[in-house]
Amino acid sequence: MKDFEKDLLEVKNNIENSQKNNPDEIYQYCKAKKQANIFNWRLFYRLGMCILLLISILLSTWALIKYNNLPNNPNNPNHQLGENQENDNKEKKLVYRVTSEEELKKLLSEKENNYYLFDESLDAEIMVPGNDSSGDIYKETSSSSYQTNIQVEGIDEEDIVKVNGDYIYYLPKTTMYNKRIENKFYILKYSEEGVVLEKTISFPIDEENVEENETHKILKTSCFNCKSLYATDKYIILLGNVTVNVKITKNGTNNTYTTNYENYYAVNIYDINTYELVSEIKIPGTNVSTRLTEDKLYIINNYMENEDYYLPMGNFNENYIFPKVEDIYYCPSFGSIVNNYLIIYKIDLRENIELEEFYFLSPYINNLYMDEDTLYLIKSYNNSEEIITNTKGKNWNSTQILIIDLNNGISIDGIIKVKGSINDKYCIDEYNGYLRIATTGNMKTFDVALGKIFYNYSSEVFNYLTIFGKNNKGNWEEVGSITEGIGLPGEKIKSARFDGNNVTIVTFKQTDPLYYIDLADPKNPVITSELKVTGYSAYQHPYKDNYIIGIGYSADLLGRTNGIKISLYDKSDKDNIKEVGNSLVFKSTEYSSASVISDPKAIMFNLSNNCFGFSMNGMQLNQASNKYEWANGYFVFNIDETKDTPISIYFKDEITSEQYKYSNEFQRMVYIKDKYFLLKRNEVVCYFDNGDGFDVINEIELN
Amino acid sequence: MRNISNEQFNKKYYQYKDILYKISYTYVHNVYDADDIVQDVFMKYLNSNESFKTDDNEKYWLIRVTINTCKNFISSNWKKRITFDEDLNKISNNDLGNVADDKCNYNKLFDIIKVLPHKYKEVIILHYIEEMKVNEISSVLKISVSAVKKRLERARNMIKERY
Repeated sequence: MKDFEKDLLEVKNNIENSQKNNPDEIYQYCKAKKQANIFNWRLFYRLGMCILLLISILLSTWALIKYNNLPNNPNNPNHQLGENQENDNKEKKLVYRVTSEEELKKLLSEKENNYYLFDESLDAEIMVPGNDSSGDIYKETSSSSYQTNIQVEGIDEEDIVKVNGDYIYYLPKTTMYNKRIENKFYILKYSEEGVVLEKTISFPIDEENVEENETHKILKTSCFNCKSLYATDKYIILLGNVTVNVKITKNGTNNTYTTNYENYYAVNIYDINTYELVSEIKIPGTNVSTRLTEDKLYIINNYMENEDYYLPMGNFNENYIFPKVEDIYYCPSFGSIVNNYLIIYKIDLRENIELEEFYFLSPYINNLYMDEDTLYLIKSYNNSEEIITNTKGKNWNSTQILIIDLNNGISIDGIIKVKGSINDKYCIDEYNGYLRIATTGNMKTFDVALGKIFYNYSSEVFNYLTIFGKNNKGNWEEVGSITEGIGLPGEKIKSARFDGNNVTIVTFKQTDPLYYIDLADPKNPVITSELKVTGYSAYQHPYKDNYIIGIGYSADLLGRTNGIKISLYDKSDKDNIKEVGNSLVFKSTEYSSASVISDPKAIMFNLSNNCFGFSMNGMQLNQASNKYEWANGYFVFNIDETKDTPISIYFKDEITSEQYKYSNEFQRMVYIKDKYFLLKRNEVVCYFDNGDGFDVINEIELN
Repeated sequence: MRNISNEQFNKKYYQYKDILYKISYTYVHNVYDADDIVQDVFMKYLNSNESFKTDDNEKYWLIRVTINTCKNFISSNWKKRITFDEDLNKISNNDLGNVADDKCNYNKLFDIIKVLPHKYKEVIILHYIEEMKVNEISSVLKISVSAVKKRLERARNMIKERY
């Protein structure tokens, strides 16, 4: 046992003795208080006067608001963000409720603005009061079954395949061609004999006859484009977009007129044992992302208001749901709303399925990050102008993040702003209460003349690492940053991976400097070492405690990419990050793109077997037609840090350009215990790992 | 007020007081405040009509109320004013070298536990101070067993880093 644990156990013997032992006193006090709870006239009089005073204050406040005199009221023509700051004695709030339908419509019609208001003392307000949240989900680092490559431990992300016990839930990706290809959902089971198809659920296009008369026939078609899924111990949750169209056909002809009737995001919840559809939830708008943590599913949508439906209307098991005007919130500090709602549907899957909604007027949200009980909504801005003089100005992109606390219900915790934009979700990370963000900023300079802006067609690139924390008032503020040194001039951040007290960042224009930044002191982040190699890593995956697997592109000395490169880096010495051995390279004539680069969830990582896998695509020469055509391969790599080339191919299945068909394209690979399952669009192959390679056990077709 | 006699209440008091006092003391690290909190908790017990199926349920309820009372106490302004004076006393004691090395370690541990986020503080106190097993802690805090294990692990890491 470690020293501190021994001491911890001894702590209870070092507690100073209590000075009170007075149960009789406590009992008599409570008893006396109960008896004294008789009608006290004096008390009643004082209470009455207080109530009267309160009522008169409320009435006069209401009267003032009604006559548009309060500076907090946006209807006030004198109200401009920033102007009232010196005159306003009242405490400014972070969050406001919408007070009326008129105010709502006015807020929704705001035009785009580019200034931001930041106040020092801002109070949060609890939006949706909730019950106590439960604890974190325990996750093993080395697992006997495949798990989705999620960003934050304990927070599940939607994907096209999930493994739960002996079952594989698989939703092959489909893309639209001339004919709509029907979505299908497959439930596969692992057994000693290999893989078995247990059930198929398809989503045919639903047609409903609306009207049929002598001249026309009107049909309503509803199409569920199922994109991803989750699996919990009780439920399978399928997510996707539903498009409802109306088709009008003239009788006796093939003339059809199709118009879009409505679109929404659908969440269909099935019982995991009986496959019965137990709940259907329809959410208005377009989906930003979803997260599942502790059996609570969060769906975040943008909803653009239109004239007919200015309130977002959803549906929960055939019941329509929409917000009351007073349940809609907004933050003036978070930028202009421009007729958009942010909607969070929180679906509780613990016992009975319960739904809680949250509505917020906000600019369009681009991305999100979730850690523990906090949701970070990310909004990118292309330009925040800063005029320097009357004739010149500078303009750069920036990011604003709305921080939402999900601990007890849903409440706004703060807003932070940072220069530059994030490259992907791995550029933002929370650790020990600090939020770390790596961004790339593009700065353009412009001239101002005769009231117009003339852009110079040059821009400078800057990379920033910014760390935010909460001060002792509970407000978010910048704690530390690195504003130069990350990347040579012109280089942008291509990938980042935060790992507790450090981050490794890759920048690229012609060569790939890989930077190791020490974050042990949040107020003082320091670049401690740098490694230059050709090409760059577009995705970094941590391996054991001290290594990073970099998957990306190889390039020549001029910076032109020419293939796929996989490398292993040793970051155990923070002052000397180095590559281990030689990289594994695929020429671009073989493969030029790797699925994991655009979709980090496409990687299969098996730590207990030191292997990982993903699919790759490229244009290869088709011997038959003598043209370069699409080819596809799935590779499983082995990691051995003692070898000269630490990353080697352990297994591969390649489909050449002659053999390639849309239906046999590789999607993913998963594993359950010692069996691996290669998932193609129309086929599943089950393999056994014999220690030297994979042996085929069986294959099944998916119709 | 709860329908029990003075004698029955005294019995409950002496049965649970030690446990609740230890929890409060570890939260506030101050004898007087801890005594006040325990008193507060027993008053809440007397004024509540909550019925308990078993003795264990009653104990877990009292522990939960104690933890919540400690949390409220810590975040109130009054508490902040008092802490400042006490910190001064602690610093001057250390300067004089009056505090033994062992005591220094335990004081340090108390201080570290004090600054942990609430959900980690709870599991550390229940596991190390009250010597509760994981499934008992799970019943007290109404969270899953795996959640308790995870919180303990994280809390241990946090303490280890600062110790």
